[in-house]
Amino acid sequence: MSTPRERLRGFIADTFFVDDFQDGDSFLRNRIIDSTGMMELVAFLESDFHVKVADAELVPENLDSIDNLVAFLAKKGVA
Amino acid sequence: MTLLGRLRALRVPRKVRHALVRLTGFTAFPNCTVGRGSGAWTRIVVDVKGRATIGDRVLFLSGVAPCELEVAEGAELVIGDDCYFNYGTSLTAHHAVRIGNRCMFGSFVCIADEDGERQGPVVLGNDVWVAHGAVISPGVTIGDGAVVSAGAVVTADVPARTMALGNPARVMPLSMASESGGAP
Repeated sequence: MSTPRERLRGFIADTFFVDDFQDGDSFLRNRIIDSTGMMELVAFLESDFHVKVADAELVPENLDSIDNLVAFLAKKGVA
Repeated sequence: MTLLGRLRALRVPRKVRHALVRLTGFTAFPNCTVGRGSGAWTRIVVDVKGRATIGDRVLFLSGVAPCELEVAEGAELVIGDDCYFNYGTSLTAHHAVRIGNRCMFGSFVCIADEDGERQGPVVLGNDVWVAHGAVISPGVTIGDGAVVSAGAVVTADVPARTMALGNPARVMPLSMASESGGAP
């Protein structure tokens, strides 16, 4: 079974047609994902990882790179 | 007949007509108090039975659809200075709709303070940007400098300097958009 990191990378590549980025690269600074894309990403987290993302958690520290996302999911109990 | 209609009947050139309408403003807004330099670019639908106050330098555009202002008897619509409304925007006040200064509205934005289920005053602060097709529901307050994304349906208050996206809208900080450049 694929890891959260692989699933996240697969989603971003399939949805935003970008796969040439490092796990620590900022989605926003590198223009990989815009704000509307962020909402798609949040919807993906909630549907595929079954986590609830509060509005207060919609911050770059949680969502702005693969590394940040993996750490955020780990805090939510997704290994 | 409105000033625009009279000018058209007199075959005044279009650019002159529009310049005059922008400079005067009053003719397109029956029963409204309108500030200096405000007006509607060609068509606008105005049905004001209550109190409507429009500030200085407010511009309503009309493209595929006119903007619409509806104020019921006893209700209040207040629009601040330097606001800009793109075509098809609809403002409906059965109680109170108040919009601050320097706000921008994309096309087909819909703001109403009563929708059959809910009712309550709608208040927008200063420097608010509401993008295309967004719906602001009754009772909502939007803080200064907030951005409402295209197509968002805002059913809860939006804090100042944040961005609302989705249906129902969720709020995120502007830092989630400002680095991407272009549209938020």
